[in-house]
Amino acid sequence: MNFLLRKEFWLFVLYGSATAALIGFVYFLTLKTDYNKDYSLIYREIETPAKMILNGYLGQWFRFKTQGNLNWLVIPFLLKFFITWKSQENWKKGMVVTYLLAFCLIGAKGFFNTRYQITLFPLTLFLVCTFLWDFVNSKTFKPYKVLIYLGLIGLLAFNNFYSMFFNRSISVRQIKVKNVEKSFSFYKFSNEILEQIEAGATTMSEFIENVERVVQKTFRYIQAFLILSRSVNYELKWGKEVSYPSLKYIKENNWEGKFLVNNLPHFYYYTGKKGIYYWAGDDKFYFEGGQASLLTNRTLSQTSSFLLDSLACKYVFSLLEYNKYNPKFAEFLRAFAKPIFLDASEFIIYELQRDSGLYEVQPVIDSLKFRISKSTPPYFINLR
Amino acid sequence: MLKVFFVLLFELTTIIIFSAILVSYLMRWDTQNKHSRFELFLLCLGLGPGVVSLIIYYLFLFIPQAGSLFYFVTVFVFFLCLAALNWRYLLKLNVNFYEGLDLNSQIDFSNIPPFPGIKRVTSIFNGAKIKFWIFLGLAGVFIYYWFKKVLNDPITGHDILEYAFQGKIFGDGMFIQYVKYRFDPDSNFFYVGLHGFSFPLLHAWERVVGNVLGVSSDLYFRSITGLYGFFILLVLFYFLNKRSFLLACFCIVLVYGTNGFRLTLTEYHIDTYRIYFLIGSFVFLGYFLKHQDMVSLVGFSLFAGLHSFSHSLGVFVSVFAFFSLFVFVKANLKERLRFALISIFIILLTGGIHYLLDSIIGTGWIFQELKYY
Repeated sequence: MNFLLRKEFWLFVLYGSATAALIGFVYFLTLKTDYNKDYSLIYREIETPAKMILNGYLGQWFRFKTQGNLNWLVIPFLLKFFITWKSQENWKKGMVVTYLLAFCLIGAKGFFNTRYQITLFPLTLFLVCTFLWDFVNSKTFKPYKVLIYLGLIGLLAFNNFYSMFFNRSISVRQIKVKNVEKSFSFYKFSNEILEQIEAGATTMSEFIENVERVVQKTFRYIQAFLILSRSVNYELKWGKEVSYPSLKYIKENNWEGKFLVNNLPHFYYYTGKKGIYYWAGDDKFYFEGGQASLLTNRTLSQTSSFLLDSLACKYVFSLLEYNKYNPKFAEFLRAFAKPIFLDASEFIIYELQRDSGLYEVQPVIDSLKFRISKSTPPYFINLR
Repeated sequence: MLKVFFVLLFELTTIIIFSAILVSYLMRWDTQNKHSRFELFLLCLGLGPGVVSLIIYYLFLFIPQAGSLFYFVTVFVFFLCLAALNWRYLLKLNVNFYEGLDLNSQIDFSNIPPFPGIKRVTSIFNGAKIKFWIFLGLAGVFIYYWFKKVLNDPITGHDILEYAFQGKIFGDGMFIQYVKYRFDPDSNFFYVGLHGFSFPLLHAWERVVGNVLGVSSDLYFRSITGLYGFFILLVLFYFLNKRSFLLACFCIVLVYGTNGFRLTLTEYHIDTYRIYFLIGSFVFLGYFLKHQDMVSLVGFSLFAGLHSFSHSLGVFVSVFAFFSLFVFVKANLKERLRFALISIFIILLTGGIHYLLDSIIGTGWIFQELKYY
């Protein structure tokens, strides 16, 4: 127990506690979700100022969820490097400067995209590993090597635990599918069954319990909580679980007009049909002469006529998720696009209509989220 | 199905051989023996596909619509000529992974931390050469998973499908033109990407090979992410293994355990392809600043050029690396300028030229508003 009397030990305890506190603080700041912000920012988890800095600009070091929580450990070593700048070899200076310039560029221009943030990950990990290895093997901290190593492994384990835990809440639907049955097929829930599922559910766990109770009793397998047209009486055609039933459906049928394709290159790669490339997020459609707005300066009715008459476009191919990027586009679809096919991946085919109606197709889980989130928003963090 | 599988093996084998042929030239220019032959080979394992995409790019640009057989034969003849002109060095290439990765020795437990009971555990392995099996286990998990995925899972991601379809357009049309709007009138597809064509051209090459050998598949294109992910792991392992075998293994486990990078390795995407070239350019930059030798300079410029050709981000990172090269190299101004000119020439030749053309007579590239999808 002599080590308890040593100053170095208590310094290490202080250092370890500060590290743990910093990590905890970063997690704390990056866990909150503000649903009132832009959907694309929420989706990328940079909707609050703290998240914009930690997950965005400094995401290469602090976006623990995707980058792991070790990368930031390169900071003390970089600081040490700059303090001892004069004694460093030229080639090391060059490498560190290049690394930092690349870091700044990605931070400034690629903060939006986790894929860009991963660019320097192997190099950062290499630096962290070598620096830590040299640090641990240096004479200064020799008696406390074990603690440092255990600390490192603890950091990693915690992060993985965190990721596993929180990823679960992101993909509740997939988890339920995996838990119950491997085989995959779609069921259409009637309004009665939906009401039974939703009745009394005020939290996610209660909702899931209800699903299990009601659906297992009614069907052999639980299936996605998708579906339903509450207000329109038409038949939805469900595909079996192949990669993309909707694409197969498009490919194997004859269509009288073109498709408006909402940013889904899948359509072109797999179907061989002609489409009009559109992205709801920007409200731009693309053609030989460039790009133009679809909904801007047009009423919903005019948009429908423009698509049907000027562009000879009779169908829309989209993803339910992508519709959310533009509320006006979603509104247009609800009013003038009749859903005719929806698959497990939430790819959806609509048929454009001249007359407006009310064509609702929405995941049940969304309606529940909306209802519950008024009273208990924290239960639905990350639930998209 | 079997034929498709054999065509995939053929494609993978040939690109590794192409890489080896290119490495043999770096060996030839390494007159001062500054570089280990195995290290050069390991670092440059992924050069083959990049250079093939570059050749296809120039062919489609200058000799368009000449037929699949022409492109197929030209690429092979090109590499055969390179091999024939340098066969002595090609034969000297060290491709022995067992020795190169130092897997034939015992694990050194002397410098690991004194965990409780660790000595009892390590004594079991005293005298046993288990490095190879541990390495095989770590690599095997990845290789098994990857092959299973490539053979079973179709391409599904948004970005990869953009590249794949543009590659299909290139491969079927067999020409590249610089136009303001990259619109395909046959499908009405509009390529919104602003990056170099290297990655889509990998699929174009696959279609060229497929046309000649009579198969239609995207297995090769699918395999690229994993292939380059594996190369990255190998490079990481190799350099950390120089410090400690256990450290290298720990790092690989860390990579597997990190969500973002695990996804990068396991989802079809361009990321591993571009990151591989980034790592290569960094390594050669380090060597060049250390030794000021021609091999490192050529290696750096080649990787930086291909990095640029694969992704816009690569252009900017390469510019920064070039800046460091110019500022931190120990040489007088005249020498620095000479190095800089050689480097600029190679970077332009190996991909940078695309961005010049695209900025002037194409989409406008850097002058466009950048958008995030």
